[in-house]
Amino acid sequence: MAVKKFSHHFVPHHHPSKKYEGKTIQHRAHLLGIGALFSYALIFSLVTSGLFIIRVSAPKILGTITFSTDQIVSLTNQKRAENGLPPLSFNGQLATAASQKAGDMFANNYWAHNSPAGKTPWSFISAAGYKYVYAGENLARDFSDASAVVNAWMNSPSHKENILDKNFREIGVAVADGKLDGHEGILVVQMFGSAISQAATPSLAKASPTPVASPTVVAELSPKPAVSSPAQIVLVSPSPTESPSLIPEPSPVVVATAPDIVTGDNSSATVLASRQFSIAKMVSLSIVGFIFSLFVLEVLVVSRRAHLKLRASTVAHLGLLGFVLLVVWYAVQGSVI
Amino acid sequence: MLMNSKLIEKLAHTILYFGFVVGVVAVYMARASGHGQLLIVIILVAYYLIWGFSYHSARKDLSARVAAEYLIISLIALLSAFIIFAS
Repeated sequence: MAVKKFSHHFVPHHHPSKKYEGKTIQHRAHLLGIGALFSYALIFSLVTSGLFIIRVSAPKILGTITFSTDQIVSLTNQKRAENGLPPLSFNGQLATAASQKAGDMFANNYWAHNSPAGKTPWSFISAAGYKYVYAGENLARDFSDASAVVNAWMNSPSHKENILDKNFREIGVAVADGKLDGHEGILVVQMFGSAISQAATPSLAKASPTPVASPTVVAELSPKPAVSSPAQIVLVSPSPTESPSLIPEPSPVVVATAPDIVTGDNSSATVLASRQFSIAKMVSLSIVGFIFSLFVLEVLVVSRRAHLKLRASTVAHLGLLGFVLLVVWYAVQGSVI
Repeated sequence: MLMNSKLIEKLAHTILYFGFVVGVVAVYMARASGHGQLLIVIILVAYYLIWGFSYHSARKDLSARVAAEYLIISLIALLSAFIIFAS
């Protein structure tokens, strides 16, 4: 009897004592009653506001993680090595360009490859003094560790293309913390390049046998992260006016720079409240999963007992909760562009 | 008549689930943007509410209890998405 009473918390049932017009009334599982559902919503609200308050007042409680440019560079090179590609050398000018790009994004509050003022990634690279043949950029934000950043890029075809591009020889990375869209977080800017002196494409070498003297520029023009496929390479003639719309930088490169390999310029940033996402995910999956399971149980019990009827709303609730579970399950922290 | 109402029930639920399938595809496509995913969940919750109220109105069994049930489950879904994507 006690077991039966206990089971009423989880499965729909009839109360023989309660009758309406001579028939017993079907009751839903007690844990799916309006009061119980309201309690789940209340618990959820308390957890959400609690996490928010802790994040604002004492984010260290939710954990801290520091990750650096060195980690990003080494993980990127690891991915290249796994694909049989040579490692990229750290370049101080590209790192400066990346750092300036991150600073510009925070200062002007934007999350894009091109700034609202129209600044392209290539303008940062040129401003840092890097004379490039190929260039590319990957951006990431709000991740709590370096490997998650690189994995997210590797899961995105266009970003992966940059990481595994054989035309790139050098890399510069900046990790910076600040406020973007009113949200405190970490920004990672990864810039790739090949200095003009490093160009190894046979056709390019043919077209420009004397790179030091030639004003030949091969540049990637697309603002999207995927850069440097040979089909996209544009060979600008000595007179840039012949194809002005395709020239990314106003001044043609005249002097090729020697490779500027710097290894010591490592910056790092600290992610506060790094465990917030995993806590939020766990709470969401637990509460929504529990309610979803009760509805599934209702469907199973009703389908096996002829005297019980499936409530019309159950199928709809199952759909929404299933959708939310799926979305939360596959949700990843941070975003890349 | 019974067959008709069963057909309408099936059609109504097919429409609802079609919306959820579209939502899953949309969330997948917006996987690089947390805010985009949050927006899709909000739209889906609104769709679910509209569907629920319309469906129960048509069945003439829309009571305060049923409405409360839909609203609380919507709130739980929204909180769940908010805590994940807006944190």
